[in-house]
Amino acid sequence: MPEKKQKILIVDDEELVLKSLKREFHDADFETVLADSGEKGLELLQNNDIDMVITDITMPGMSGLEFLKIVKDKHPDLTRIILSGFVEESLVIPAITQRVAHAYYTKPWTTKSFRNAVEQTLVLRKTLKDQALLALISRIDRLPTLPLVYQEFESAMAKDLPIKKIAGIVAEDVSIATRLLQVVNSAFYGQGTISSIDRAILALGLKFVKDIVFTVSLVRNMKWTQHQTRHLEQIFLHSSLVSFAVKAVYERAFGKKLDDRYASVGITHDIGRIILLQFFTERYEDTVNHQRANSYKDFQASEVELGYANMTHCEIGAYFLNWWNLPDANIRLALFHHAFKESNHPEKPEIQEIFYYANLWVNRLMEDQQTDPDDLSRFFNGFLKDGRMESIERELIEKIGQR
Amino acid sequence: MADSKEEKIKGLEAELKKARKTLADFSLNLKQAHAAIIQQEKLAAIGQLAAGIAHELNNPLGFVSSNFMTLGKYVEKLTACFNLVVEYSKQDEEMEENSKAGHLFRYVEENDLAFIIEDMGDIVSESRQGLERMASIVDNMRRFSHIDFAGKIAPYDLNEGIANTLVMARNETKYVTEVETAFAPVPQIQCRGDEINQVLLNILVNAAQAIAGRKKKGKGLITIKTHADDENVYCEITDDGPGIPKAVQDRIFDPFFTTKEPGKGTGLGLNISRDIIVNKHKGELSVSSKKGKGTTFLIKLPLLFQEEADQE
Repeated sequence: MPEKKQKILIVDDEELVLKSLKREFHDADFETVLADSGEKGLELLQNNDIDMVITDITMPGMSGLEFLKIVKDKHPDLTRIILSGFVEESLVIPAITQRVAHAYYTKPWTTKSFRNAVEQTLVLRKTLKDQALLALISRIDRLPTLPLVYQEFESAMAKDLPIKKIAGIVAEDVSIATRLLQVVNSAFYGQGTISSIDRAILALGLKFVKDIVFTVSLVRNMKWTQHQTRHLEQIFLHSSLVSFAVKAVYERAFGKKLDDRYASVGITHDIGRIILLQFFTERYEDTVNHQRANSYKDFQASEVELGYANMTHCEIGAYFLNWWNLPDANIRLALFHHAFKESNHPEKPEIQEIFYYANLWVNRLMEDQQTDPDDLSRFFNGFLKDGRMESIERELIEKIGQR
Repeated sequence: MADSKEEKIKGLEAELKKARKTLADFSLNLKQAHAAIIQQEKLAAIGQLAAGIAHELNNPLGFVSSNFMTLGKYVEKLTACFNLVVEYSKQDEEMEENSKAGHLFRYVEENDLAFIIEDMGDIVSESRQGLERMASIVDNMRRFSHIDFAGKIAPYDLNEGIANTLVMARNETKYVTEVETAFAPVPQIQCRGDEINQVLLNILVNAAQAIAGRKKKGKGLITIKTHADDENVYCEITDDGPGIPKAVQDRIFDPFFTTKEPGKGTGLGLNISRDIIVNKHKGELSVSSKKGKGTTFLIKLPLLFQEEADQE
């Protein structure tokens, strides 16, 4: 029996938007269902087996947010995405933090990356239901829960408290604060060092610091042997350097700030490795040994060779990030950071592509993985001006040296 | 007795004079404040309008861009199909006058379809470039107006603010001057972004107008530099216009002071700018100028917005 096609529902009061999206997805692997109002959308949800909804916000009658709230209530399983020309951060951010929506995209959308996001989210839905993965995760005795500090931090953000207040939540906890500043400084791209949490928030942005708080407090809640700690340090360093590289490459290449949604994904992309290290230490070490024995092969490729396909650190990470309700961008990069679709636009690479190569780059410099340096420079020099790749590499090496 | 009366009258006269002066001062202040408020409200209304239009444009921009993307895919497929058809009809040995292939071939020739097919691809890709440009202008308009945070203190990236403002000022600058930027990485600051952008726009437009008004031929140059230290971010905007005469330099921040022709300037731009930077953000705004060489405005803004940060 052929697998049933996944279905997405698109809601927009502008018919021409609906038609253009339908066209765009005509040759895709999923079906599209259209509704010109939230009310009609709800009706369609009753009678169709829908996997994902994409909705506009400003519509006459039921607004997109009202629609999503009802969808969340009645069909909590669906992936909920906003596509709107009227994106007021003050409206959208609470929607994301309160999980009314999983992600938001702005009109006009970039065809390629929007479709890519939709397709990946659908793959993600399938992945998370994979039996082998679920079996593996069920072997964990006590699933790590969302750290308290992080929850406090997030709710302070949602309440729009002044930065000093938000910083105070973290600053009180010395062990978290120290670790946080350490990560901040290796991920920080700019001048000088950062010595306080409120400075960190200004330098890196709230979302970025939030993701660091998340990772740091999560790890703090687990018990680590001395032996594990060594690996853990490597993961932390790796994650912050990848964040640094992505931001530096993007900002020096395109002269504008990297979208907040992506600035911090480097910090959470290897959560799966942390989980593996904590709960499946032997498997983690086997994989590292396999890497070394095979001339520093890719970590994920090694996992696959050892028989863990479909339950590598990528799937595990994505599973937990989804379980903890982190934003879509974080989940997708955790799942796909070892794979990407090559774009045919050498001057305008997709953020995921930059991320992929930044990952390889950092691994090469940390001597975790052998990567063809020509491959790297071919990619980065495609859009970075002369000498910039070298200067970023110098900064990376310096940061590795500092640790 | 008489003496004391006279003294009393003198005293009263002096008091009256003083009171008159105070009244006049008050009335002038009031007038200035009134004008400044109207001007600021006007600017805010324009900003809001611009943001509204930007949002409104995003819907049609969205589906037109998407449709052109799809059209591009269609054109590619149709082109491939067209090439196949032409190739096959050429191979048809019985391509006589009245055969179907002959008919098709004649139609292709007579209507210059080879050109059309090629041009179709160009039309799509050129239109897409145009759409991308429109999208980036609209995006800039939205970012410039900072409508998402209008009037609110929020994290603000100075380099990004300048870049957005430059797009907004492009119409004023593009024929009269080159613009060079040297951005150092700066941390975000806490401020009212829409207001800071207004100051930047003010200074930029002034600079462009100064350059346009000079006698020298050829394009001028505006350079914008940013940097930061532990406490502040700095922005330096320099033009190579005629400069501000010494005698006037002290007065440029005064309300209603303008060197522009009547009707061209309100004389409030720099006054409001100083109010925004100095009073509202506890920063500094200073000017240095040499006649014939040009003018530099220096903006200094603290990283943390003290007033607000200390509030509950």
